[in-house]
Amino acid sequence: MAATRWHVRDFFSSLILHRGKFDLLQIGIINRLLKHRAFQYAAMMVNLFVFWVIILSGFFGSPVGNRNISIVFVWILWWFALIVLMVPLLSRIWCTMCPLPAFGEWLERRALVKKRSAFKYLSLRKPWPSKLNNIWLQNLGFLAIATFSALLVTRPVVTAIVLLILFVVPVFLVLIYSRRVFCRFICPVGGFLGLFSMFSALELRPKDKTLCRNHMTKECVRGNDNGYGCPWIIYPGGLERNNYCGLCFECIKTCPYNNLALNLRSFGGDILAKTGRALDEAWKSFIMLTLAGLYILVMQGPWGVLKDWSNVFWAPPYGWALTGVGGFLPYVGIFWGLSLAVTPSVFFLFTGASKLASGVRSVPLKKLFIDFSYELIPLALMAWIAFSIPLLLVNWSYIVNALLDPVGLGWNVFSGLYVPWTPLIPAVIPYLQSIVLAVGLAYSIKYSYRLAKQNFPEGKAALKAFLPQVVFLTFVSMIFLWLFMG
Amino acid sequence: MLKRQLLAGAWFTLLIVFAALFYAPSASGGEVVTVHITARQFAYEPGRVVVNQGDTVVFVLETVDVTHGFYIDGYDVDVRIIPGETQTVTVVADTPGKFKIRCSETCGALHPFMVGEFIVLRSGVNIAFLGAAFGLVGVVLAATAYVWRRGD
Repeated sequence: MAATRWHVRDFFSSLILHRGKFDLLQIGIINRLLKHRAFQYAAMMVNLFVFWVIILSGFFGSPVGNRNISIVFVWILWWFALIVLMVPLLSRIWCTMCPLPAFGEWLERRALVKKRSAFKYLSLRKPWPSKLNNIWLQNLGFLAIATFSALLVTRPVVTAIVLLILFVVPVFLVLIYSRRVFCRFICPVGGFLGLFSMFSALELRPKDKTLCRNHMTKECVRGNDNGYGCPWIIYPGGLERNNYCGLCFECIKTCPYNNLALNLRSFGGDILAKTGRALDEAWKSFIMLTLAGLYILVMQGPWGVLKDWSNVFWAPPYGWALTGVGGFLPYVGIFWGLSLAVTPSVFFLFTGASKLASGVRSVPLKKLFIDFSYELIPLALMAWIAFSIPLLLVNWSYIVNALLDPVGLGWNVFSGLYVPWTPLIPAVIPYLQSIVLAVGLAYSIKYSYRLAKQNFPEGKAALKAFLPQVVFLTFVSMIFLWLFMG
Repeated sequence: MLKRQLLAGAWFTLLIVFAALFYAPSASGGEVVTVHITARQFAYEPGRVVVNQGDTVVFVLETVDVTHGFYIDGYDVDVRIIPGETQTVTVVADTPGKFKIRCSETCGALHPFMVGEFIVLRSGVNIAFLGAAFGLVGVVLAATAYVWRRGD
């Protein structure tokens, strides 16, 4: 009992009071669960079943999105759980249970649960091209999918087709390159999960890096009888950031010294990590920040013309006539132009102002640009959370009704039971969104100053460099606030 | 010195926010305003309706394609707009702020995103937005002063 109290105190101390870290593996049941080979398999199997129901429902169920489980479960329930709960609190825990790479992984290993002691991987095991050893493909893939999001999140069959593609691609990639190259370099969701997991309150880290350095056999990379070498192609002994750790927990199983910890920590723990910063991640921040604003503008705004532009295929009532290309092209231009060029350019100007204001010439502008871009992560994440709040609060009744009639074809499993559309506290939503935005802004300001201190440790240069960043963050936040309340 | 100024600024901003939120000048509204709204897949025209607090707003509603709904967040309004018919609904704009108008009848693919905005001003000002904007500036000043005081 005393031990439990101790755990609870440490838990809140690390998460809320920002005092140190708390290793969840100290809790026996979590330790045993994560070391059990069947854990990840079971989690993936559950989601595999759900995803195939979703795919079948997408193809054969009602074409009306809000009556089909494929839209309601994926784009309301899953999305809300992912962005509001999983990413901020549990890092890339979704990757632990994601079913998309399941077939490829099982095929390559020729096993479902057990670790086979002597076997040959079913893969050519070619090296991943070094030029693609970044998240640019994920950046572009996410933008491409986001461009068609009005179709994706409203047409069950489009969701089903995209999911089917995302099931097939990893299998082919595994056969050529092996391991989780799809998750690491291609998956359009993985890119922003990696970026936002830097803000998360959970991390997997080595307890003692010296021990890892001196450990010659490196079972976490090569694998042993207890588990596979890291499927995410990283060295767990050197982990300093969450970005590319998919929380498969193989390293916990293989480490002979139990030298890994699953820590609860304060929010934003990785933003100040100096390793791994690069332009691809910087652009991911710009894309995510810009798309949050555009989604709120297009999906939740009153401007019908934007919806017409985004909705490239539409004809009343649920048809497929191609009638919107004339507007869709400028819409694509706005999406890609703002995300890839305009936002980064404006940020570049403010970074230039930071450098000028600091009075220090020795710090390269490119380095400053990349480093400061990480301050956008809390604001971008909170903007996405703010976008997601009305999705659930307004549309929650669709989830209940989709459970009662999963494919929307009138199979009401509890006949007669139907929940009418009833938004939950709709008038309060703009205030909730504004509060969430303010939290993101406060965190972004906090990390902006610390990033400035990393680059300008001497005197008041950090403060002078920090102030233009505050102006930029405030300017962006005001745009979001206007979208919510103005 | 600058730290003190920032902290003072944060407090002053918060003071303004509270003043803005609780100060209740006489509403400039009280008029009867008629607003014609045409619903179509997947928008209301006009998309933004701006009135003054105290106005009695008569919405005259029509649809040019399929059946739509007309639901206003925070106001007890939920009516069905049927093709070929004109619906009239009267609302007293007693609460200031921005309220979404939502379609409450499944009307097609983008139905969940068919929204409009009903903005109720107090003395010609969107007081909720103004208060929130000052609040955000207060957050900026307070966070700036806090991180600077604490250093790294």
